[in-house]
Amino acid sequence: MIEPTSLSAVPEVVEASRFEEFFLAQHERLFQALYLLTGDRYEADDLAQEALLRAYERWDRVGAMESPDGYLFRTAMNLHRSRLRTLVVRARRVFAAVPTEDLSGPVTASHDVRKALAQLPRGQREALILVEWLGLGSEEAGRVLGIDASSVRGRLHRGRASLRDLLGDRDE
Amino acid sequence: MSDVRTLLERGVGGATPQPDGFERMLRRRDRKRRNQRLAAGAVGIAFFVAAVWIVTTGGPFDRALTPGGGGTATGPTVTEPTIAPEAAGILGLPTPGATPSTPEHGRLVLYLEGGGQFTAVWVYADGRLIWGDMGDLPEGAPTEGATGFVEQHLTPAGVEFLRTQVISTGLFEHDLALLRGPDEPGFLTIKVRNGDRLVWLTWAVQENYRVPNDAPSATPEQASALGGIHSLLTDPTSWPASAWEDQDLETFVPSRYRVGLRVFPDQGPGPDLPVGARELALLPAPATDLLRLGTKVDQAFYELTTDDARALAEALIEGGLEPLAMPMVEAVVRFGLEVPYEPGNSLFVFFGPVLPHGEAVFLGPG
Repeated sequence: MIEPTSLSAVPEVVEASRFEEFFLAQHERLFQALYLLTGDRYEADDLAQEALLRAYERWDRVGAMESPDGYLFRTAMNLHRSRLRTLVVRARRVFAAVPTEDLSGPVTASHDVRKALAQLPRGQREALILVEWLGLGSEEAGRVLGIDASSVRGRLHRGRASLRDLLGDRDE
Repeated sequence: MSDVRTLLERGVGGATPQPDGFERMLRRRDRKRRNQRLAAGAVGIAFFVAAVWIVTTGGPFDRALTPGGGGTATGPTVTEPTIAPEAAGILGLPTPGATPSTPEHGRLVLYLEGGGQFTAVWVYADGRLIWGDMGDLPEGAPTEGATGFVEQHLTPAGVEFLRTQVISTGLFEHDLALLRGPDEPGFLTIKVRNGDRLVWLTWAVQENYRVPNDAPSATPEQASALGGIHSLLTDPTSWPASAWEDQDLETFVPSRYRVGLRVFPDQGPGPDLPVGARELALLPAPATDLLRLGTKVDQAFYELTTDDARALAEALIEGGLEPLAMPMVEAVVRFGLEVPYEPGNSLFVFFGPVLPHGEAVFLGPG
């Protein structure tokens, strides 16, 4: 008689289950980080989906990494950068415009913060989001961005100061 | 400002991703795998055809063969075709011999672009309904020789049904730009023929340069009407049966392609640089020859017949360039190469079909 196999004993199923846990743990915070980065929730959702899919496709390797979430964030940042350039192609030649920032609507505190973030240089914005939102240390944020930890700290310092200037007294 | 984290929480404003994230990701994976299989087959075929062409005819551009030199593939053993050679082509360009959509020119009646799930659809007075899709081809669309655009055919009553439904919203008496809020889906541009002219409406975010900063925000009623138009035009199952002449999806085969050349800095968005003779010289010689055959539309755009566009793509591939993305996804063939004298900059060559109303379209999300 063939004994029924416990699903949990099948390596592929275990791996899939581990990824699903990873997905559930990271999906919302990654989406929110990308929302802060792009200012557009649809763009953020799409980028988060693609980044998570890439982690899933390489999960045998990514899952064994010391920091799978670092891989995920690096992938998401790279996707965003490459997409910016492609969007320029569309924006310039196709339909004459593609929104890369979703900054309109009612003037709310939420809107003000995203608008201020959008005015920061991309490097400062990335550093702020990685460290302040995703909670990475400057060393790990540096690995994600491909720069030194000291450069991350410099960008953080300038980013915080710029945010302070941009938001002024409203952010007390 | 005492706590950046608190500020960022305020910026997020409790936003959450769309539901069913894991299932959506799995569906995305399935689409991607299917597209990659198709693309791998088609690109392999493109190499195969180019190699055979060189051996049997001396090359499409009268380039003399130099036996033993250059390392050019010269035999028909590069890749075994997985589909019939007569169906071979470069993904994003129609298969050789494909019959162009007729008539070549058409009068645009209705157009919609945008939405949360990006959609682009064109409706013509002759009944043609052409779909372009950033994410995926519609279910049931042909995949071999896919151009990224498909067409169906409406009856005159079907065209008029859609036009009047859109007009009846009252939003198209004159051109109109409206601001949309952060919780409203995507941007929308709609054009509809009202009398002798196409009236357009754009609903977009404030910083979108299509909408002036002093544009009014859409009222809830206007936003609702726009949502209704989007739902109508993206859900053909809601249209009456009498609207359809032929509901089968066919590949839209353009008669002409527009080819653009642009130099982009690698570091994010920025002004693209002019393309001149120096940049043209970076391309394989047969490609520049073909571009000269085309009509120069503006400084960096050329219009070619579909056959010449295909020959151009083949020349680029033969010259060592590879298509950058899967046109099944992007609906545009792109090639890119580094600009050696401007480190960090890239020259892109991209192809977009010319639609019946004369506009070339390049769809591509990256």
